[in-house]
Amino acid sequence: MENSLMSRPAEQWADVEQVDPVRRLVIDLKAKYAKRITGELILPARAPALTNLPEELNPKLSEALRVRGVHQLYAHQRLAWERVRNGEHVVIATPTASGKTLCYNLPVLQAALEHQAKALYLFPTKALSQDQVAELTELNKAAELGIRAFTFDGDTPGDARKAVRTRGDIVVSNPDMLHQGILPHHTKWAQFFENLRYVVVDELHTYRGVFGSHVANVMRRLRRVCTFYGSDPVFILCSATIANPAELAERLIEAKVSAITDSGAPHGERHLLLWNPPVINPDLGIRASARSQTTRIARTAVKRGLKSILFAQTRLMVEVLTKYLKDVFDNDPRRPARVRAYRGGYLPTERRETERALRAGRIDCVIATSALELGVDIGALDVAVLNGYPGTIAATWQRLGRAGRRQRPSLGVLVASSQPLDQYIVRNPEFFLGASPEHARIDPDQLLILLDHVRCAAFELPFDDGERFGKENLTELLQYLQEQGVLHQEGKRWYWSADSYPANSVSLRSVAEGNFVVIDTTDGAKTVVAEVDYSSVPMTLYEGAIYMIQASPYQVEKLDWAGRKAFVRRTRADYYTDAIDYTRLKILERFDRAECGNQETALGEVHLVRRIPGYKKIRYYTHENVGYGNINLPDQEMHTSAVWWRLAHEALAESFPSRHEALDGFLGAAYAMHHVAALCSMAEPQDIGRAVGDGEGTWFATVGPHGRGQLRSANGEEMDPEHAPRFQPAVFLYDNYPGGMGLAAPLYEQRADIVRDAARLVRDCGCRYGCPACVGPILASDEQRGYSPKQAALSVLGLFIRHEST
Amino acid sequence: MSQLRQRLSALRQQSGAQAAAGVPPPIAERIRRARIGHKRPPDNDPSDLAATLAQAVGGEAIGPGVLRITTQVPLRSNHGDWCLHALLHSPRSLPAAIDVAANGLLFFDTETTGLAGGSGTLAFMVGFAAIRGDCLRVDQYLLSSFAGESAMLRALCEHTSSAQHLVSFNGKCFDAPLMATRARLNGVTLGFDDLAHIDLLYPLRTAFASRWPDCRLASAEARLLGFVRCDDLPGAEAPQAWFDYVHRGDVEALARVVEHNRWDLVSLAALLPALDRTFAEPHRYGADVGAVARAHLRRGQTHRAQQLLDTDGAWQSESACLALAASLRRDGDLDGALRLWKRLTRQGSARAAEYLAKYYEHVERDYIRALQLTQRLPEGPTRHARAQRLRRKMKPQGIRVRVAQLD
Repeated sequence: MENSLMSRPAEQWADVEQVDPVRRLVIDLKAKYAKRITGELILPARAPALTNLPEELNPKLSEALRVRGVHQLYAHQRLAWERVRNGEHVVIATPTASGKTLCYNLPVLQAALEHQAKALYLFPTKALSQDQVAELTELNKAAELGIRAFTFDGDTPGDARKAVRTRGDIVVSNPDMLHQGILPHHTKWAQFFENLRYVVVDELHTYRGVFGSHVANVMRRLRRVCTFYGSDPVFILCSATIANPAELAERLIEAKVSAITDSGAPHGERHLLLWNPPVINPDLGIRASARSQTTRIARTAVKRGLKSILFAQTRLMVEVLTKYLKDVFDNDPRRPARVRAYRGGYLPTERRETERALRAGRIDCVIATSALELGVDIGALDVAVLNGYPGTIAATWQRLGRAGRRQRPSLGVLVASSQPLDQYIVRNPEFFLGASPEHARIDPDQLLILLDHVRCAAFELPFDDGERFGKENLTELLQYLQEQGVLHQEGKRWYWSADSYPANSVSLRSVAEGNFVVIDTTDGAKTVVAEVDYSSVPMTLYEGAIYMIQASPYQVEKLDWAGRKAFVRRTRADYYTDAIDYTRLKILERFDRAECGNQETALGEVHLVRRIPGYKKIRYYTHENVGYGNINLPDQEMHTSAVWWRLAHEALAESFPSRHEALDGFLGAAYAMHHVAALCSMAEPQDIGRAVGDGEGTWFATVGPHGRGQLRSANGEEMDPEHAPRFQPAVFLYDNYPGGMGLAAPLYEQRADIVRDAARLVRDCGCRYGCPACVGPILASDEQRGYSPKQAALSVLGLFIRHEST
Repeated sequence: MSQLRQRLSALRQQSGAQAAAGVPPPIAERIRRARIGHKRPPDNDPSDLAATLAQAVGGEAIGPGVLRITTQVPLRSNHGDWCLHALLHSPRSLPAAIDVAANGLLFFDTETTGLAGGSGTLAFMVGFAAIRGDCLRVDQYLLSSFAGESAMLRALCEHTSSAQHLVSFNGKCFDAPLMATRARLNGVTLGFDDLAHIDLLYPLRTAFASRWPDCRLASAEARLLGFVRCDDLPGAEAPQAWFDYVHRGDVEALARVVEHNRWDLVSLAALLPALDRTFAEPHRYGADVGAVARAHLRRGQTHRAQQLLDTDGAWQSESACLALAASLRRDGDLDGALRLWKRLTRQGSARAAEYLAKYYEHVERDYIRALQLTQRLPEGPTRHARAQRLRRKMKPQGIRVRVAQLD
């Protein structure tokens, strides 16, 4: 807490400008690259809004605060205090580093001192828990409060667990541990639950999608167990900026929650630049890569001694950027590394080491995925560069917020890739700078997820007839579980009746189960070097894949699918690999449709088969394609919900001289619609999938290696569209989770907007024949097609619009 | 209903292990599931079912959903090579049980719905055995329905209130915490906490861990008690027996669980005097003498350890002898300690030689002898430092020694 620190008065900035390296960097970048900067925002430094410490605050606690230099509270901290003391559930959604921690620590410590009340803190990751306990310990030491705070997670040794359960005033854990280790053993925690007064849920914004839906069910279980022990804790939730913190909190805990969103904390001046890479081929609309611009900005910043953080969208891009920057700054192996990568999949010890090095200022540049978006304490940084738009406005601000200090200026740069969303944002800076952040959505009643937690809850306490758990018909779920042989109904109660521990087979992080471990077999040893979640395995760990860790390439030699293991060996390859994805869909059922003649837009359930037939080898630096490899993996299947747009056979024949042209039109339209849909529904692009096919599963369309649309049969063989038996292509946008997470219905509602905005995106694009910013990448040879892929996509979208409006 | 079921089964196929492995569950599994669906008697009157069960196991209903099976085993009867009569004499040698009164013993064993632990694991059967007159009286409580648990737990309290010692096999880690969970869930106070708990697994391990391949109760029966069960239902099949009863009304396997549990209790009762004898005369029963002696030492029974170790030249018990010597020295019996160290040193123990060297250096100040002993220590910096120091100490006294002379 640095509440006592004030930002400087504005007139002092003049001489700071002389020396402040961040301001100098901004000035120099603007002078040199004026054309690339499409938008700029300066958030002025802000003075704090301070209030006095509450009068009823325990004297020991005020003493502890004073020792730590806190003499006053920020306005939002005081407000949180009052509402929590009043017994309200609250959510605090203020920016990074605004002192959210104190919002919950104060009432919790006060209640512990007053009534020996207990509190449970939940953080999404173990690292955050450890930070938190360190912070509590310091407060505790400052005035000998005598409050015992312990972490309880997978790393807690067996002999310490009993002490945590019986003696801990504050237990700091994570939802996974609550789910697998605490709730199924609640009787051992009886004393804790009886006295549980507060539950703190930090990083609320991470509890969205599948994970959030699981956690909402864990909260249902937690409240059920609390009721058994006669307690009814108050929830204090903290979130980074999202559009709907109160709504998300209310869905998560299923109770009324009041929101605190105005921060009283100060911050230094912030600069934000929107950066569009220069066009290098005007005909094709091809721009220089975001990667080249990101490395350039990072090089300049690091050379000027500014601590920088780079965010990349994928683990692969983290490794590529790390390699390029290490080639510049870490070419002397005898010196400690100045550049490091940080992403999921690294082992925890390695990540902790990087965090420590960052805090100590030993690292000049860190390249990260969203793994560093969370509140992991890495100290203050000067410059944040985003290699590509993260997909959501909330995530963008969160990443940019990683650079920023209380008193000094900081800089964030958003570098656009050639993806349509990125281009839309940098070309319309006023949209981004004025937009509200996204809504975080969860679907706690997603059937599979709900079923998993009904099982876990039945194990914890028998269900009684008439009890509520979720919004589906609980009795039917219980009957289903009885048929599965895990429950037994006796009178009005449903008892767990199986020899198993259901929580162990339910992972909160995915609908699918079972992480893969990556085992390094170099030099005959067998060392686990990484862990990869089930759903990303087909795209990253196929045999032959180059899998990168801290920019060192490893080649996958063997993938043991059943054993969940991938064996890799260090290699010196000068290329990386990128998997090819074939997806075909079959419509199972229509829930709703808007029809006009033989054309329809519909919402329904689809069966999807994804095949990863092979991969491309791409050489570093030149990014040329240097070969292909085959992948032999089982097909991934799922049922999910989708929205599709389909045109009648006759309409097609009228509007397009050839089926090839129609196919290119559909692929281009799908590309644009996919990105617009992500924006419209405020989802992340990877939450939605797209496909073009006949909806019968007999054929599907892909963009072939030469940039042209291809038709492939169910078994993946190329077909000639002119000879396809029934040529009636459809654009599918589907919910990318088994069973669906409730994304398709909102898309169907907005079907007219999606088509209209996609048409606008394509029409307004500055390219001639089509480009990655509108209909997807096309190749130079496309000029020789005799038609423009861009025009074909516009024709398809035009036909969709016509049918929408009738 | 059917629609929800279809949605569920379709969804579950895509989300994990099953689809990934690419194989359907084994036929037996599918059949078993199918049978649950078809043969489950939902319309059976629960009281009819309980009556059938009571008849099959020879028990009486003591409340809704709970049966009690009572058996009297005469103390003069044999269990394997041991007569249960030995129970009447208070243990004299088993450290955890010395002088406990025979009529305060409560032998205890449960049968559960699994080993997973957590609040979903249930003890569907709890058995007690205690001495009543000239018999061992075995009382087994069996749930005939889930709803009977609370009544069963209350019935258990009658037994705990009249006992002083709970005797179990692995009960400290498994049965007792499980019962605590069940009691907490049902809001019943069992009174287990007021009883001293003697878990026979620990002394059995002490005595035989280095001698037997495992220390399960079955091994103790075969190797120590000389008792062989005929047609016993393996304990691991107990959960399925209970589920077969619950789901399908099968009582046969459950009746065998009752038998199994009764044997467990009687073996437990026989094991207590048998272990007591083992701790008195470990050689006689093939136990680990050193480990037994160490156990006596931990309990402050130095003289017992001395009896076991100071009589023969059992080299395998080096660490036990050293522990004994340390204990003797603490008690002021330096001669006893020296005798042990010397014997061990003769037998080649470097650790004993080190103790002796320290003794000669610091107590006797006999540096020559200390240096001699130092030569028996393993090569290394410790040995080198000690020798250097001893040479330094000898100099002012004008003693010059060449090591070769000593050897």
